[in-house]
Amino acid sequence: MHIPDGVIDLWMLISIWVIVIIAWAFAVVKSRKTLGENESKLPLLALMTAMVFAIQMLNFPIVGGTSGHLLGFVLIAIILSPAQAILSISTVLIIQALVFADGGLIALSANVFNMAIVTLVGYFIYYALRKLKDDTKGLYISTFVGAYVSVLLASLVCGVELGVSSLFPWGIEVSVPAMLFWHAFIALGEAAITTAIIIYLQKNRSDLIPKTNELKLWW
Amino acid sequence: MIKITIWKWLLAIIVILAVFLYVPTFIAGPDGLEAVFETYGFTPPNPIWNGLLPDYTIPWIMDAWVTSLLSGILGTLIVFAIAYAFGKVIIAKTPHKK
Repeated sequence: MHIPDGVIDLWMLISIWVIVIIAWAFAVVKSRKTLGENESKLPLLALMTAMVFAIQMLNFPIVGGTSGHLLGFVLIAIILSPAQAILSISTVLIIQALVFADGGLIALSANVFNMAIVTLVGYFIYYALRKLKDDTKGLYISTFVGAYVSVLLASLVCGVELGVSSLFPWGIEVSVPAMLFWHAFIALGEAAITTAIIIYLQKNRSDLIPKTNELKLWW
Repeated sequence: MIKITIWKWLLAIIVILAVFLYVPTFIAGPDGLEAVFETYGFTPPNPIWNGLLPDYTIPWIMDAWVTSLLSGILGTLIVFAIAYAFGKVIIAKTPHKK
């Protein structure tokens, strides 16, 4: 879902940059408090970020020769916090754009917005569901649903951006259903991989997964 | 207190990359957005920046597995280093540091 340059209008990308910079400032303020109080969490943040980068390189095939890969926002938000997930996924996207030319440089704002800010909604759904069902099964279900919604919503917003942009010749009546169609499948992969990792951690390193009473709404 | 062994986990990430990148289906195929572009015959303009390791390859290494694996390992280490360094910088500026 990495948007290249020259696809979204400049005025849109600049407006989105404003939102992204505010979100980054917010995430830095929240994360530095958490990390400052517990520095032992920093290696985990760096490791999780590196792991998401590596897993994003692995494309799983879906229908019609198309492929998808993990996004990882909800995974990091669950284990660390939503604010740290914003910084972590943004780091991955910045390196991908700068080093690997995966996603445009000016379009980085849209990519960060779609994959590291809109995806917050997926985490909030996880948060709400987990509060409702406070057991291991609840953990797995809320992870699956939250991860699924995060990717679908990111693709919806990406579709709206494409449809509104004058550089993409088709409107949102075309771009939104097309994006949702493919990402309905890709989101299943996201949900499956995220849940599999959470199941593994719950069985082997349950100390890494916050209990229901320790759930973080932001930081 | 959370304890993790960094090198053990980094090694695990690299092993996972090595195994999965060996299977061509895990590197091939357009993603969802590219599939939408292809369906409607839309070609994005040539990028203004081609990156240091374009398309997850090291330009002078031709073997598909070796080139994606090495660029993947390099990327993983860069991302780890940047995330760690950035974290250190923001912690250093925190007013709440104990």
